[in-house]
Amino acid sequence: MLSPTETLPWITFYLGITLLIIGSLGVVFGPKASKEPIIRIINLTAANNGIALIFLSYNYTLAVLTILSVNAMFDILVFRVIIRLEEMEALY
Amino acid sequence: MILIDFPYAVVVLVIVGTIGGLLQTRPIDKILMLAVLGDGLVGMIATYQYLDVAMASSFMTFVGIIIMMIGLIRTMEIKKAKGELH
Repeated sequence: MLSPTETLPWITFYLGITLLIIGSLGVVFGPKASKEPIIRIINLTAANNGIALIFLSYNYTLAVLTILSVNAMFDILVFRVIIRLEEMEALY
Repeated sequence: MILIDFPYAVVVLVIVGTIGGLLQTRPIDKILMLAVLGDGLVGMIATYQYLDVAMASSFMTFVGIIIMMIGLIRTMEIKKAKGELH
C-alpha cells in the first residue's frame, strides 16, 4: 500500500507538474491551435487541472475548489468573447 | 489480492486523458477526452479521502464541460451561417 503522508503527495505533485508542462506546450504548439481559438481554450483545461493537482498535494482543498470554479467562470467569459468576435468577423 | 494500487490507476487515467485531449483535433473529441482527465482528478481527490471535495469538484467539471459544449455549438452555428463550415 502507498503511505498517505509520503508517497501519495509525491505522486500527486509530480503528476501535476507533468500536466502543467504538457498542457502549456499543448496551449502554445497544439494541433490546429493557431487556427481555432476554441481549441486553445480547451487545451488550457489540462494545465488548470495540473494546478489543481499541485494544490491537492499540499492538502489545500479550498484552493482546489476555488480554481475549478474560477475555471468555469473564465470559460464563460472567454467563450462569450470568442462568440462576439466570430459575429463581428474580427477574429483574424 | 490487489495487484495495482488505486492511485496508479488514477495516474494512468490522467495521462491518457491529457495526451488524448491535446492530440485530438475535433473539438467534441477534445472535450470528451478532457472529461476523462476530470474523472482522474476526482479519483485522485477521492484517494485523499476528501469525499465532499470530490463531490463538489465533479460538479464543477460538469459545469465547465456544459459551458464548453454550449460555446462550441454557438460557434459552429455562426460558422455555418457564414458558410465557412463545409
